[in-house]
Amino acid sequence: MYGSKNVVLKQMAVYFAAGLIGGCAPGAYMSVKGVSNPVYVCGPSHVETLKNVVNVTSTVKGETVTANQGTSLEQHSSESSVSDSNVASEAINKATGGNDALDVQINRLSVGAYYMGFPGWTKENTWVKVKAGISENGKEKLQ
Amino acid sequence: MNTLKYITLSIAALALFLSGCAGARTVIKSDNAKYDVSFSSNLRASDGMMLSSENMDSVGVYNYKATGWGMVWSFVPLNSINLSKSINQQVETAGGNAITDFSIIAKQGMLNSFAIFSWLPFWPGYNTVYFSGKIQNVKSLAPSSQGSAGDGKSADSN
Repeated sequence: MYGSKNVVLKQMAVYFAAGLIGGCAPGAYMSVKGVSNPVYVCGPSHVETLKNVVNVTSTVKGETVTANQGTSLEQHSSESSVSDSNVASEAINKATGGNDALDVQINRLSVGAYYMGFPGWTKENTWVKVKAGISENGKEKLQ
Repeated sequence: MNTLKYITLSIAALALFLSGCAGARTVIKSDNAKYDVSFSSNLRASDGMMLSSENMDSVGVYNYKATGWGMVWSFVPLNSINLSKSINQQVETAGGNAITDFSIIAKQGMLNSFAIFSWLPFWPGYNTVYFSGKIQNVKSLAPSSQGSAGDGKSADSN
């Protein structure tokens, strides 16, 4: 009887320990590199007043990490920064067609982090989601 | 009796399944920021010319940390994160008028990871979000759309 109680307590301890390590697992890192356009961050949206708005949606996901790996924030962030940054940058470059006279205005930026229930085979999922409009402000100013 | 048993089991299984989404999802805002904030290294000058890092003086670093909360396995956000105040304060203190090279790290909150508790819909979850960027002083910066839309202050007031 006591034996089974101890097993349960040990399992709980392992779950909580794994949970704590998992809780320290880092998430998604997002930056925009290799884009010459100004990419303005979610201020008062002037996208709604623009003539030609093109929607861009880009989701940047953090790497999936098992809780017991204990990956550090620094390691994980630097590992994911290159690939994650490219996701957003590629989406912006594709939408602007390489025209740097266009400004990009992000009109909805959301971040999230989920934890998949069971430590031990737990997976972390963190993301940064961006919806952006493209303005012709720069182009108009140049004319 | 069996029906009640199946319903109870189904609800428990559903809660277990949904606990995979324990955490938070949060919208980021900067509605009242007076200064341009750009994810890239570039900004737009008042004459429409593209400004790169060569045309700016880096006068400081922007850093901010915030927490987004959620319940019901992250389906119900309990707050949003507004960066306006921190942007205005830090840019003014540094004597700049814009932020470039903005970046975000969104990371797990520890409360998300406690099994059993996270099966319960009212157990709160959170994410910790880190923001950073370079505070720039740009003399020929275009008047900010933020300033004109909100408080009437232009971005090149310095």
